Amino acid sequence: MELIAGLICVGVGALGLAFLYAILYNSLIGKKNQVEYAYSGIDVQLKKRHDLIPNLVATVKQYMEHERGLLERITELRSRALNPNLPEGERLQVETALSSALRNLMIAVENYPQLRANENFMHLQASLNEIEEQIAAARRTYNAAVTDLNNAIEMFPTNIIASTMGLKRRTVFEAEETERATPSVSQLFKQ
Amino acid sequence: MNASPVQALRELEPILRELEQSRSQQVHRFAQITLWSVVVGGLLSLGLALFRAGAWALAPLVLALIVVGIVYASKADEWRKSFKWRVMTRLVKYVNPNMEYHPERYVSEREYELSLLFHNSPTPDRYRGEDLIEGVIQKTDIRLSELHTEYRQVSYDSKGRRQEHWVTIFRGLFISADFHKHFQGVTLVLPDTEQSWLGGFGQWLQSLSAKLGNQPGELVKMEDPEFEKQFKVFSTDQIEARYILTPSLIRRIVDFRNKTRSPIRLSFVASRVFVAVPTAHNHFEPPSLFAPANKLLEPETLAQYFEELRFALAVVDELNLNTRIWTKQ
Repeated sequence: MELIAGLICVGVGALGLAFLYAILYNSLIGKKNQVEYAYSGIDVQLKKRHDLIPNLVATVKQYMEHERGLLERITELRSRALNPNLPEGERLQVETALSSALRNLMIAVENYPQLRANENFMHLQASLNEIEEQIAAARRTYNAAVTDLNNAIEMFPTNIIASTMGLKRRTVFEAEETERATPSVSQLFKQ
Repeated sequence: MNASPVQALRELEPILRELEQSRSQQVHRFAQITLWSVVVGGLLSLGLALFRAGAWALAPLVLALIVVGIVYASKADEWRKSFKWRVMTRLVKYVNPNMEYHPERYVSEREYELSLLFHNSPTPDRYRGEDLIEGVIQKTDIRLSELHTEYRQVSYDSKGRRQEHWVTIFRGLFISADFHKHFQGVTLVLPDTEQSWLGGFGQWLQSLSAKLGNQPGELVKMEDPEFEKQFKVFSTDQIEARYILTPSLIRRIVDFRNKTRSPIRLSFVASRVFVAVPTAHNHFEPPSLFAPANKLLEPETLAQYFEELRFALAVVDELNLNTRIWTKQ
């Protein structure tokens, strides 16, 4: 009789543990997928920016004779970012370089009053601002998802399950040094 | 927002004097009516008492007091109305020439429902409001008023008697303004109660509450720790919520909350922002009918109305709603 009771106890305990394991396992998978989903959110916005660039460069070109170097750099960075064979880490670097090049362009624009009177350009600039804002939002979403996953990977008891699943900490996006520093305009024009 | 209270006081002085004069006349007349009613009622009561009318002897006196009460209510109402029409309408123009003031109107119930700010409370059974201010500040159209919404709660006591209570859902300033960015989903910024008490477990409860359908969408965690302590955010779209709530807007919301020192809540629905600021104070009201003589003419009184109006309209500046560098122009 006692043996049966003991067996039932062990059985219930094992079932409970299995159930707990399933819940924690699923929550980890959910968090991992959330990170991937958030990452694709950034991708969508980066693609929008790629689509906008040719139009922007074409509009700006005729006005900004002195900024030819900067414009060529932007076009080149864009085609590099579009290359499907680019490794992930490098692609991120290219995108960040593209961000700062575009920011420099927008600062240089201040020197061309005719350009600021161009309606088409003003529209493109507003669209670019919007996309940059969306990229920032998507990055922050990604960072929040990564933090959530990292917490789960390091905290008890999910850390035990995470190690058996082979889940690794991911790194969050950080603002580049140039993004943090206030841009010095004179420096930019020396480029 | 150029005119100073001093300038306004100078220009409004004739009107204020007139109002002050009529106020003292009203008070005088009210005192006369009170005196006569009490004397007549008192004498009649005394007479009846002499004829041994018992408790009925008090009837004339009670009647007299009721008359006094009614007269007071009507005088006070008249005074409030004339103050609002003659002074507040002009003051609003001083604070911002593009704004209109309507003392009797208020933000519609449709807009209140649309905001989803109180979607977890019952639909109000009593919806009241006053002091609507509306207009366009540069590119932002804005509408705000005082609101008081309540629902009826019915309970039965031990003897099965039905009892009714009115429970307040919201009382304070309700603001509806155009938001400077386009968006499709719903984002709610609500005062945080659980997390400040229970920390991480509170946050887990919040996300569970969203999963159970008590809140639209899911819990959105923001980076700013001070903001996270004061608010919880729910949104139908994680990215859109962060598109709306940029780090700078988050800072501004925290500052606005610290300035108002009340549990404000915000929602972003249909490209508009709705802000509810609970306040115990009834705004834009005249000094009491029996305030000390010439209180209305004191610069401090007027400066206070200025302050109240500026505070109410500050939301556009505080939340930076006029910056339009995005595709929404």
